[in-house]
Amino acid sequence: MLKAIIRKELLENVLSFRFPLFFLICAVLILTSLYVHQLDFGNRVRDYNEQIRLAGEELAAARPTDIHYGRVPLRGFLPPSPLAGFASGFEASLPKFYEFNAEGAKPGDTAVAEESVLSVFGKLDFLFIVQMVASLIVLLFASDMIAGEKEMGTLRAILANSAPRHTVLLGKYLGGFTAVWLPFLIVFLLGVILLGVLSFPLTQAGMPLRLALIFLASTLFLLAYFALGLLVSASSARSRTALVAILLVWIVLQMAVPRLSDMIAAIVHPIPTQTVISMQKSVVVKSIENEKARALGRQYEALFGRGTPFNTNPEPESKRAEWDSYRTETETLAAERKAAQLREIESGYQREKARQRAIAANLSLISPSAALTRLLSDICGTGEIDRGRYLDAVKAHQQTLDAALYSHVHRTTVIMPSGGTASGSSIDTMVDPKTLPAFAFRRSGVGDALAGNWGSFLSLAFWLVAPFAAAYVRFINYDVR
Amino acid sequence: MEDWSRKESPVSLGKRGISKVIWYIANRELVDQLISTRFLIIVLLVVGLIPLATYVGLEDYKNRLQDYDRLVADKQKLMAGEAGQKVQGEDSPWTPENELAVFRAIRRPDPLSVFVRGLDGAYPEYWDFTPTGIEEGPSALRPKRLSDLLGQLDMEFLIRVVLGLLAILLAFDAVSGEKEMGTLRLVFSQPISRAGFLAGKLVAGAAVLLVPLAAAFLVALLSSKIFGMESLPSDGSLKLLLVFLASSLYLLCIYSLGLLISSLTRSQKTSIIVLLVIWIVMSLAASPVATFTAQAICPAPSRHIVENQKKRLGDALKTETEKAMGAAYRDVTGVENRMSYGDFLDNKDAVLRRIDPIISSYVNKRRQLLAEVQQEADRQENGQNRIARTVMWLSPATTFTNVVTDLSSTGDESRLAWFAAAERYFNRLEAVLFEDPPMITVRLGGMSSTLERRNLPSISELPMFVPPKNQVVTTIQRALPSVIILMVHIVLLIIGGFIAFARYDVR
Repeated sequence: MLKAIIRKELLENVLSFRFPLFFLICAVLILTSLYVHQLDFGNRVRDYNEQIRLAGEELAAARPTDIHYGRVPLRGFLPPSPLAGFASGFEASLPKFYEFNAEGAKPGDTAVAEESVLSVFGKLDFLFIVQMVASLIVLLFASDMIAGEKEMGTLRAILANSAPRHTVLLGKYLGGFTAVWLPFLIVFLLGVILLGVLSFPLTQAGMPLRLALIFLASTLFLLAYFALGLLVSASSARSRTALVAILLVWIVLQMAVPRLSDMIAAIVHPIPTQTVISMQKSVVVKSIENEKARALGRQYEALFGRGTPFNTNPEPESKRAEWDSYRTETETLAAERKAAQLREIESGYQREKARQRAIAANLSLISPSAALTRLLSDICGTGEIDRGRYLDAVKAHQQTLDAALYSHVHRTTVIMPSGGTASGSSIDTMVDPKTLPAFAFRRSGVGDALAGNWGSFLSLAFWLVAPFAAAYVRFINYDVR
Repeated sequence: MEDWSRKESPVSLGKRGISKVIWYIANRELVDQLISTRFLIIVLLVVGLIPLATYVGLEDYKNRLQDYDRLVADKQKLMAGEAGQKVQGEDSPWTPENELAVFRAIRRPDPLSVFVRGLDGAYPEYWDFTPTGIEEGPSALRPKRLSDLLGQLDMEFLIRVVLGLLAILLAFDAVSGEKEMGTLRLVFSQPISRAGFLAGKLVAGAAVLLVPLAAAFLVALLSSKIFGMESLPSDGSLKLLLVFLASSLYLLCIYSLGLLISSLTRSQKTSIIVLLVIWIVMSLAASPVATFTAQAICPAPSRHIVENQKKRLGDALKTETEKAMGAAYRDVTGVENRMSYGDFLDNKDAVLRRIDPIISSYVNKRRQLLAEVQQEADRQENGQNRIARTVMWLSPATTFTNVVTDLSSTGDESRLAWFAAAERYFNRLEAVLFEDPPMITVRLGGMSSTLERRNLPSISELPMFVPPKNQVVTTIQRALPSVIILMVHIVLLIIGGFIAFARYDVR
């Protein structure tokens, strides 16, 4: 009986005009999107290689002292993610490179700045198509699955058979979903073939697994929406009511919940803004630098007498060693203090921010589409996980450069007690720039993405099971008279 | 649908003319719709979502305003300091802070972007002016949170998507429902003209849709006040009123689309499915598709690459010129291996006589070289924007987006106006400063030195940046083409609806 119902649903949907319509929309949107994104990826890889080459040339032509003093910055570039066409995530909003110098790492341009402004209205990546377009169409299919048959009276005829109600429901669930899933599957496979033709790195390690996971996650998401549609359809007497109710649910889950969770998180756990934090930091830096310069000035005048112009090789020579050791000691001490205080401010802020983000993210998991967004962008290496990894890599590289290069550069500013400010700089050991390590960033593996996303899976699983169970209860309770 | 028997017999209406028929039908339709559940639910939904959207928009606006204030404070500090008194007009890499930032044109975010976000976050936050051209600052738009990836939620979005959906839900069964139930036959057995019937439905639909729209605007204004927004400037309120009018036009357009499809189809189910699919394509997929089409047809190099290319060309030319000037310096002063300011001052007139033609030829060459690169890039980018806009005009939803963003100065036209203003300012600066540089760098052997060619002007002697006009009249002018397109959509859809309805065979 189950087979018969599945076959009936499948045939009914496949033969209706909705089926080719859905197929067409899916094919046009997904294939164009993948095609254009693949072209874009090619351009970005070219850009990336070109920029690395140019930076290398610039570095080779630069004078080593300029590199030491940070006049010629050292750069670390972000390699483009091949899967950004599936879920662009934060990819375009991350700085394409960081510039490293003695003061720290400075973010470069983002790809957002380069995109046509028109793309603000929405990015047509695979994720957008699945969660906005396909989800709505799936709900549309599901809306009259039961309510339509109630209205036409055919439900009575079906229930007059010896089929138990759960078989009828399961048959509708499987048959109806397969009808929407088939075009989706076909188009996805076509898309993968298209990517293969367009020299997408299909054979790269982990890539087939990632693609399979993307498809699996999207299927789970669509299945969850189908179950939701079925629940609404089982609960309403007319397919028109079902449709209105379904659209409502869609709008709330799709648009309101993720944003509402941000709002709640900001109210429950307020944090100071970035501007306040950078002001705090600059106050700390200024006061420590000032103190240091004053101390150095005092010592300089004490050693070499009032009114001696500041010089890297001051007279008398006998006191130079004393001055150098005092200077080194003061500078090291100040640097340590500065680093410690900045770290304290920064880590406190990051902790608070992470907490607020976690609240928002966990609340937003109430919505299956937020769960899908998170899961897919992490699988594609464009999500929260890889953003964090990129920042960590930048921080680590800055520390490496500080230790290997910038610690050999001394910049001394003195404020004389008698008035006047002077500064000078020196390099104690020249480092060959070619020996410096290159910036390295590796995107997270599939395992990291899965481990960091158990919440998303849980949310999807909940949305898979709960609406179906509720639909089952409603359907069992339905009075056929 | 309601019971016809209890109504005043329409027979007598026929004699009193078509306006009476329209009024009669509209009245019946109005009551029918206003008491329906779908109407109530959607109105509640909009009224619930608008405060959320306003909150999100306001937070974002405040952040951008903070950025703006910081930039303005930085600029003022710079202008008050030495860089403001002595403008060198040269972009030297070893000045600690780019001294050309004294010219920086900073854009204040528009308060209306709270309601109609548009491209406001995607504009550059500022423009810098250097001898090699205009450099754009970063834009505030950066998805920071997960929810930012789901697209922006503002009043424009809610009107376009949620109220657009309401318009479809009200219209899909307006004709096909009556066909299916057979009430249409009854109506036609009365002396009611088909045109009058459809016009009545149209009037009623438009009137019903005005209710949630007005509620949305009132709630938005109210919640923005509650969340602590500064009061809008007087022309801001006027612009908001225009946005309201444009929104009603848009809803009318969607409603007429619904009537057209409803007249074409025989069953409600077909009608709603066709309508929803059109709606999805039109309001969700149209703008990304437009962008994609434009990018595929007319690929333009990224602005960053153009900027880099210009910089490289300019730098190469500059080094060459600096060397030529160094050679001139050597010829005049006769010193080969050292450069000093004293030598320069001693021979200033002679050196400058030799150097001036080098500078003017450099300026000419630079202008020609950079203009070629820029023109090519502009041509491609403009072509891309034109294609995207044309494709967008095919859909009422994207046309609506264009209209309201243009009206609230957060649209593409307003962006172009800012770029044009930056261009104008650059040309003025070029004429008085960059083509007659007060400071020059001279390169001789491995040394380079910066020499003062003429007295350094202070920033107060140089022209100021004039932001583009932002009056109501200007914004109307900008929005006008899109408004006309929207009206064309409405007229075509209404005519189509009437034709489809007139062709309907009642048997």
